[in-house]
Amino acid sequence: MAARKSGKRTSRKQSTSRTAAPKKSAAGKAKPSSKAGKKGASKSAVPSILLVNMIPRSLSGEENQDSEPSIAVNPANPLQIAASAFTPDPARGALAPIYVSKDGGNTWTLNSIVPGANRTTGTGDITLKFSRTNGTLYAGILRGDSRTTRLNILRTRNFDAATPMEILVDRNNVDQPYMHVSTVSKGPDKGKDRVYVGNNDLNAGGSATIDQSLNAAGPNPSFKKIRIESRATPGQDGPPVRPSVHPDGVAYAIYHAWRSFDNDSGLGTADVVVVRDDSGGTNNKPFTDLVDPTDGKVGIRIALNTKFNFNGVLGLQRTGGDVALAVSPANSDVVYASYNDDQGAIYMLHVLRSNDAGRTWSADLRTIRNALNPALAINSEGKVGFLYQQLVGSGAGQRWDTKVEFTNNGSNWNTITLAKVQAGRPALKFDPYLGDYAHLMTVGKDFYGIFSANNTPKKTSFPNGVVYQRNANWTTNTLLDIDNQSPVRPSIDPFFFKVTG
Amino acid sequence: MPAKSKIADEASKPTFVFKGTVQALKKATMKDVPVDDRTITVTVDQVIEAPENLAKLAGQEITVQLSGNEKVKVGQQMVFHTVTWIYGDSIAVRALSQEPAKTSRMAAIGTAGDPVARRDRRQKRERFAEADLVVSGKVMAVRLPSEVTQKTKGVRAAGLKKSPPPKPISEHDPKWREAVVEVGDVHKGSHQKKEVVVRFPASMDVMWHNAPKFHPGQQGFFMLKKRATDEPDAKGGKKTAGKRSVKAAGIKAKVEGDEAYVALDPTDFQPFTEPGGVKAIIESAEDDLDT
Repeated sequence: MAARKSGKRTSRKQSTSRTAAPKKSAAGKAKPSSKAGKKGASKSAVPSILLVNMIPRSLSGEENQDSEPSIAVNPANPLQIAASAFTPDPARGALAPIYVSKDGGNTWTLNSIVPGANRTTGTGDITLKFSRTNGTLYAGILRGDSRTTRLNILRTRNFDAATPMEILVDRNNVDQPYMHVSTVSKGPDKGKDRVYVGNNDLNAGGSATIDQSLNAAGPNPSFKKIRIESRATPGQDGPPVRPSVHPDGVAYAIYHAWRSFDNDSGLGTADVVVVRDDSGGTNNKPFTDLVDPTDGKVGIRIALNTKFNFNGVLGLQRTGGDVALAVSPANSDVVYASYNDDQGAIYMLHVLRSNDAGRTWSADLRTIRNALNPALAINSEGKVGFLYQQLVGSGAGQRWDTKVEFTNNGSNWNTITLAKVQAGRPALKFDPYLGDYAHLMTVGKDFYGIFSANNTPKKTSFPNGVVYQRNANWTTNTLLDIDNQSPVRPSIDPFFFKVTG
Repeated sequence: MPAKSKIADEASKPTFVFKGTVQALKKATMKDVPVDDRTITVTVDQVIEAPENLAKLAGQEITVQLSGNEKVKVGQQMVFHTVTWIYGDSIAVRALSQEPAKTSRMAAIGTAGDPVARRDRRQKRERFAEADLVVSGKVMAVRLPSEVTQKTKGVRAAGLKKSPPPKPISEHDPKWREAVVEVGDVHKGSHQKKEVVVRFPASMDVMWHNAPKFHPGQQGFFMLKKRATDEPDAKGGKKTAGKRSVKAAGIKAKVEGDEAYVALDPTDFQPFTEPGGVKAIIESAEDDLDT
């Protein structure tokens, strides 16, 4: 915007927290700060942290509740990153936007290419993933313009083009599509994209499902529904079904297997179940390679009779059940899992590990009180990242702390606090307040993640630094509109982060 | 309607209309925009119709991808009818059409007034046109749909402590409620009874939060559609009948009301106290009838 050149410089200066300020190169690109969360770590072990508020400057006036984020880094070109949230098209059009970065997450734009937008919230549930080799971006969404939890599986060859994403699958009564892509690295199927969309298909009583295509990048790819629930349910499973696939083709999934549920109170019990397929779901009985020796049924129950409250809340965020799983790219036998279990009024997250491809599991490696949205990822060297959002404090001082922890052995955890923001502000516009998930992934040694949080520009809220694209005054802790003068009320924004491995 | 054609329909409607002056050809205001022969930069002189996010762009220089093959010149003032494209440090929009900003044409478009209000008026007109029934009236009561109350009775009769869901649920459950509206006047469609039952979602989930939430005593205009509340709209879906079976806790009952009037869009209810909007549409229609 030529007319606002001087304003742009002012905005940049004001929009960067001083404690957080990434060093600027001559080219103006932000470099990650190097501030570890754990004292006493050796210099070489100190990770670099980049945290960016993703709302572009041209949308400085927006006050949307941009919750429930997901992220996809292109493994073939990590400078290319796509992300999503409940962000409406700024012009309130028929296509919802994705966030696009072509410089490794330093700067972000919005590109409206997702079909089926709701004018005020964009798309419904959405997750994204890139092919490992060919740049195709895949998405699993619930259409925002539908009233029937309508699943679309989408793809685009060019994620920053204006062309709407292509619809590959379209059906009703499905919840929380969770995208995972694995590209075959050897053999006759080399180069083919295998797409796994974990979802809660409410058309079946054992509703935990994976929609799978063995060649999703091809013309008119076919998908098949794989029911992964093998036990009796009270009519359905819980919403989260999360696949994770090793580059050698070994595919895992974890789900919240409901065992009882009271519709009036929202209280229920669930087993947390892990399934595995050693050939990536290509055989006649996919995802049946793990059998629980206790009952002889498919799927190892890593936790029994966990409690959940589908009508519960933690702060302003609804609860209901969380699961996460990551397989180590260094060794497909090593798997980490996380889940929640209500202990009275405490919403407790647990982290476990299997070293034998899911057959047996450790005791708790980590427990976190009153935390949700767990996300796990393991880098090429076997280092584990664990992202979560924790409600701490009480009354007016209550905060959402977003933390990412790292471990090389499951015993010693190094914690980085990314954000600690006021929990009761802004007011809830809709559920979910922060999102029913956040996201963490790796490419090589580096960790990339996304979460949603209160966007008040306050230095102490981001102890490891942050970069704002949108206009803000860090002295008065005020967001500013496109004119860089008019105040804008705080809202929920998506934040991208990268931690070098 | 097949998904692709619906997308095409919606994408063919401009969402940001403005008068602007061409500043440069084959240029963009952001590095992220791919530049070709049809890419120009334009200073926004006047926003004519826009959502709130884009209403303050007057004076800003933005990027426009031109429609068609028409040539434009630097310094030329034009009206651009556009849809969204890229938002970064600046914005880029795609023109569905553009036309010279001649005085007579500007008068025909009617460029005066608040661009956000203009957009709201258009949306209300469209919603009015799509409605099956438009009434003015008062909400007398809000209640659970009959099939929900019958299910609860069945659970109690069966002596069950826990109530399984009547059908699978998700966090996107609409939590249907019914508003009983005393009808004052019928402004569109046909309705003989003194009351109309309007279904609305009480849920604050992302999928439903924006729908009107009724409570007793509310008075205003109701723009209603007669639509099955659980009607699938993806291909291969099955249309629901006016009645359906509910199996829950050992009961099976025929219940009425699946095909009800619904209010799902924020514009579907307008209080009497709010000026313009539905009221103006109705008055304008009455004026047309009078003449």
